[in-house]
Amino acid sequence: MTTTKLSNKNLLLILIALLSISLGLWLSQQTGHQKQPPTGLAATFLIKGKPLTPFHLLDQDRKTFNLARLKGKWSFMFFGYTNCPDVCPISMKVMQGVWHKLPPALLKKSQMVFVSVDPGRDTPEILKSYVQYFHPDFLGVTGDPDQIDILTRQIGILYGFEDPEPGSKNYTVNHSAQIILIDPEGDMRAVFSPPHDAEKIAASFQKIIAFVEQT
Amino acid sequence: MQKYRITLFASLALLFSANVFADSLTINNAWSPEAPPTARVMAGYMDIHNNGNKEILVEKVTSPQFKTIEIHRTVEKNGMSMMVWQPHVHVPAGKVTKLEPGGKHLMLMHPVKRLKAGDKIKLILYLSNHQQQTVIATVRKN
Ligand SMILES: [Cu+2]
Repeated sequence: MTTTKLSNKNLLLILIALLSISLGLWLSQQTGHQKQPPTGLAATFLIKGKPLTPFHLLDQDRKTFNLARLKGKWSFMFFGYTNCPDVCPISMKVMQGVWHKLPPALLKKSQMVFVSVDPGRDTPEILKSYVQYFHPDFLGVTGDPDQIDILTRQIGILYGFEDPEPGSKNYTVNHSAQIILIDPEGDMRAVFSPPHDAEKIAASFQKIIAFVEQT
Repeated sequence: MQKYRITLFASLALLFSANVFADSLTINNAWSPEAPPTARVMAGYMDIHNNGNKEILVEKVTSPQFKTIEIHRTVEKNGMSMMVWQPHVHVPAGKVTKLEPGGKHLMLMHPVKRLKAGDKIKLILYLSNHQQQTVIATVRKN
């Protein structure tokens, strides 16, 4: 009688011990995995996100586009101008491709923002028809040159205007062609350098999300 | 008189065709990506084959459908992508020069009217051998 009771108790102890060992193993595996940054990325990844300082721009509906608009979503940002015939449409086509490759659940928490560094020509109305040509959900943003600079400087985007012919609006704009990824905290997380490939960006993005969300 | 006329015509035709075969360019895959509705510039791309044994420069390009056309090259410099104006497109003898996205391209500025996928663009290439060559480029989505 007593022996049976004892062996039952022993069995329970053994069971508890086994459970804690496996729990410990599982936990250590989890934390071990956490520390591993994603590999094989088509991007420069910032393990610790770089917080952005406030800026104030306008979106294609003339609504405020600031740091708050970056919170709660993963944002891809590309900087250019709508009169750019070569580099910008190539990158926008790539982003269109990324959008077609991402699962709907991911798209819900992502946004694509085209920032025009040429507010002299790119009004919010022009930006609207430009970005929506590529995808109805894409956002077009621009604003005061000072405010554009606050944003571009902190994420390492460069741009400059070529001298136009006198009286002509035919100037071109030199600009960085990197695609910047901002996380839902509003921290800069990754830089995708050209040449861009939609499939690689989509795959890298999913790896980055998986890593950041479990940290 | 009649006979003389025919001979003149025939020899002119021969001269003309001989010229065409002597040093000409074969142009393939001439296209232009459809641009967003607000765009006032488009890009032109093509593969230019030089079948002859002398280099040929494309010195100027015009089109009745655009106010201005320039030859550009997209380059990466100081961390920026920029378009650099080019005086011509160089097509070495027996070689192919590609105008392609992210590289050398035609900058088609100020369309007379908006062009959509399926539309054709007539381009006139002015060559260094004093010939002109007409190329039809197709507007495509991709
Ligand atoms: Cu150009």
